[in-house]
Amino acid sequence: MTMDRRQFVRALKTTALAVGLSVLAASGAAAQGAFPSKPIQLIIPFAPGGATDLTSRALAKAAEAKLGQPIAIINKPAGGGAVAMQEVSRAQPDGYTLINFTAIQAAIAPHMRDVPYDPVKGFTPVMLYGAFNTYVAVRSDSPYKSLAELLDFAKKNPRVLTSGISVIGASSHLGMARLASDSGAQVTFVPFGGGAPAITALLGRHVSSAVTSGEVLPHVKSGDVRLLATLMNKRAPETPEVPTVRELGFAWDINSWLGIAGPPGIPAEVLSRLEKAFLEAMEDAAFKKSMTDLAMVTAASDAAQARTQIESDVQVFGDILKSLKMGRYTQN
Amino acid sequence: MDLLGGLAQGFAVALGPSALLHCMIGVVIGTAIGVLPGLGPTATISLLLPITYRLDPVSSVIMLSGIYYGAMYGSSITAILVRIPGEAASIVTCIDGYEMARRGRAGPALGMSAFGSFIAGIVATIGIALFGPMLSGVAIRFGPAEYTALVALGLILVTHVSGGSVTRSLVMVGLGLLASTVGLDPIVGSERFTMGALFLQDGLDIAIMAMGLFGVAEVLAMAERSLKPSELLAQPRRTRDLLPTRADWRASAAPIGRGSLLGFALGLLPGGGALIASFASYVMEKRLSRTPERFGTGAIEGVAGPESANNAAAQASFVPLLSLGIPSNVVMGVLMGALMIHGITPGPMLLQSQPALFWGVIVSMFVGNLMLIVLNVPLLPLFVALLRIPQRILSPLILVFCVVGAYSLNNSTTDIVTMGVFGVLGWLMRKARLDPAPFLLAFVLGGLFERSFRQSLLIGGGSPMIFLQKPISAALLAAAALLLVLPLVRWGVRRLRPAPTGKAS
Repeated sequence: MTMDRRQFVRALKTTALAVGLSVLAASGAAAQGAFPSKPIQLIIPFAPGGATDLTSRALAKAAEAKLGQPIAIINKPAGGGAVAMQEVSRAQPDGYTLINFTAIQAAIAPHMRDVPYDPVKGFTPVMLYGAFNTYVAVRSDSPYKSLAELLDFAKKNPRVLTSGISVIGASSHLGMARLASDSGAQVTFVPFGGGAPAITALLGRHVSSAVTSGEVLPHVKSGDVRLLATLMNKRAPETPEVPTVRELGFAWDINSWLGIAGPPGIPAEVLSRLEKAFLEAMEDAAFKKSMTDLAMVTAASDAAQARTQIESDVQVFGDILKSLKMGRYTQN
Repeated sequence: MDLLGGLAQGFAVALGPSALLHCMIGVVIGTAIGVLPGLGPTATISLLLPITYRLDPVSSVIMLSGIYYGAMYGSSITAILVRIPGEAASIVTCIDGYEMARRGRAGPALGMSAFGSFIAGIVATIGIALFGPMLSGVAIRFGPAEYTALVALGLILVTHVSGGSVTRSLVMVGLGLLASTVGLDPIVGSERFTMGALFLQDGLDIAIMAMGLFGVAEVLAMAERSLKPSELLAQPRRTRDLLPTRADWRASAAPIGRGSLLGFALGLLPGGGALIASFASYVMEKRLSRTPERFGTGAIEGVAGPESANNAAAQASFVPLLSLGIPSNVVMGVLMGALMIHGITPGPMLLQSQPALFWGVIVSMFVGNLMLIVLNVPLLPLFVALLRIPQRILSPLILVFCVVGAYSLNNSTTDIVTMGVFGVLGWLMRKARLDPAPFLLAFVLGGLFERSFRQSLLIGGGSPMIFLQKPISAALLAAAALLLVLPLVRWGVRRLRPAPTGKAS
C-alpha cells in the first residue's frame, strides 16, 4: 500500500516536472523574437583579479543595463584559456554564450602550441574595447636614458642585458625580442610568470630591464622606475612623455587587444544587439575608470573592425614568431 | 611618522562602525570559506571585488583582508576535524591535528589553533606597526638566487616532516618533485608530461591534490572500516574538556612564540610564505622537541606552531604590498587590484598619502583576530559535535564538499575527476604507509625551485656561481649544507666512539 502511494507521488512529481519544463520551453520559444530573454554567460579565459578580468567585469556590468538581462561571469583559466576558447567556439550560436576575446589566446597562442580551436573561423567577434599598454622599463638610477642606449648596450654586450617579462610568447616578450632583433642586439629574457614579479625583480636589481603592462605605473610615479618606450601605436594619456617605438624609428607596434566574441554563426540581429550594447557600455563611468586605473588603452572597434583586426593579427603575430623562430617555429 | 600617532589614528579608523562591520563580515566569510575545501580566499575576494566598488577604500580593504586571515584560521578547522586542508597552508595541521581529533582531543586542537593564530596575529600586527616600513626592503632583496637557496633549504626540511621512515618520506619527496614538472615549462613554455591533455597544461593543482589525497582518501578509508564504531565518536561533551588544558598551554607556549616569529619573517618574502612557514615551524618544533616520536601521533606542538606560523605569515604578507606595492602572493595581487580600482596605488608613498588606510588596515587585523577568537571559541562544542554525525552521513557530506570545492576552483569537471584519481592514490598510499604531506610540500617547493633556479642561471649567464656571490643565498645554502652534513657527522662520531652508556644516544 505504502509502495503504491510512493510510486503515485513519484509519478505525480515527474508529471509536474515535465509540465513545468514544457511551459518553460514554450515561453523560451515565444520570447525568441526579443533577444536577450534570459541571462547571458560571459566566460573569462583568465584567473580572477587580473586586468582582463577586472575590466571585462566592469564592461559586462554596464552592458547588463543596456541588454536588460544579467550577465553571469565565469572564470575558466585552465590550459592558458584554451579550454574556455574551445568551449565557446563549440557553443550554441544564440548569443547567450560569450567569451572575453583577447589577442593572447586568439592571435598568439595558436602560434605557440597546438590549440583546439580556430581563432578566425571558430568565433564571431562582437567588439573590441581596448588593449594592454606595454612599456620597456629600467630603474631610475640605471645608466640607460633612452631605448637607443639600452639596445646599444645589448648590441655591444650580447646576452648581458637581462629583461624581466611575464612569460615567453607574451606580447611584452615579442615586442622586446623584435626590438632586439631589429637592432642586432641580444637580450637574455627572464620569465617571471607575471608582470608584478618581473617589476619586483627590476626594483631589487635582479634584472636590468623589464617589459610590462600598466602595473609598472605606481613605481614610475614614486620615481623608482623610468619608462623608455611604449610598444603601442600612440602615446598613452597616463604617460604622455613616453615615446612609442614607431617614433623611435621602428616600423611596427604591438597591439594586444581585448574584446568580446561568441561562437561562429551568431544571427545578424542578435550580433548587432550585442555589439550595440557592449559599445554603448564603454561610455559607462565605472568601466572607463577601471580601464584608466589599470593603465589600459581604451579604444572601441565594432564587429566588422574586430573581425579585420583578428584576421590580420593572426598573420602579424605569426610573422613575428616565425622571424624570431619561437613557439611552433623553433628550430631544433 | 610617529608610531603612536599612527596607531592612534589606526584605532580611530578601525573602531569606526563601518570598519567594525566590514571587519566582522570579512572574518565570518573568511572562516566559512576556509572551512569549505577548495573555496579559497583568492576566488572569494575576486568575486566580492565588485561589491567593494561602492564601499570606501578603507572598509573594502579591511573586509577583503579579513577574508584572507579568516580563511587561514577556518581552513585549520576541517584539517583537524576531517583531515581536509581547507588551504594549502593547513596541510601540516592535518598530521597532528587530525590525530588529536581521533584521540578525542579535537577541542584542544581547535582551541590551541585559535589561540595560536590569535597570538600570532598580535605578534604580526605589532611587528608590522614597529618595523613594517623598515622591513619592506627585505622583499625586493630576495631575487631568484636567494629564493632558490631558501627553497633548497625548505626541501631538505621537508624530509623531516613525516613521522615515518626517512626512506619513505624521501620517496614521497621525489614523487612530489616529479609531479611538479607536469605542465608548461616555466621558462620556455613548452609542454611537459601533458600527454596532449589541455587541463594538464597548467600543471596539477595543489588544492585538488590535497583534497584528493587527504579528504577523499579519508572517506575511502572510513568506508573500509565502516562496521566499527568510529573512534571519532569518543569526544567529550563538556565545554571545559574542549578547551586546552594547562599542560597543553605549557607545551604550546614556546611553539606559538617561535611559529609567530618564523611566520612573520617568511611572510615578508614573496612566494609561498604561509605554506613554507607552516611546515618549517613543524620541522623546527619536531627538532627542538625532547620527544620527537610524539609528532605524528597527536602532538599539540605540531598544531600550535604551524597554525601560528601560517597566520603570522598571512598578515606579514601585507607589508610588501602596502609599503612597496609588491604583491607577494595571488591574494595580495587581487587586493592590489581592489586598491587600484579605488584610485589608490599601493607603493612607497602609501604611508604618507594614505596614513588612515595603512594604519587602519593594520589595526583592523588586530581587531579581526580578536573577533575570530570571540566567534570561534564559543563555537568549539558545535564544531566538535560535527564529529558525532554518523559516518554514513558524514562521509557523503565530506565528498560533496570536496566535489563542490574542486569544481569551484576553475569551474571545471576535469578537476573533480583529477581529485578522484588522487583520492584513490591517497588511499593506496595509506595502504603502503606513505605520507602524502611530504609529497604535497615537495610539489609546491619543486615548482618554486625549478623556476627560481632556472631564472638564476639565466641571470648569471649560465654560471652557478651566482648562488655563492650573493650573500643571502650563500648563507642560506650554507645552512642547508649544514643540515645535510650534521646527521652524517653525528652518525660518524657515534660509530667511531661507541658510547659505553648505551642510553645516551
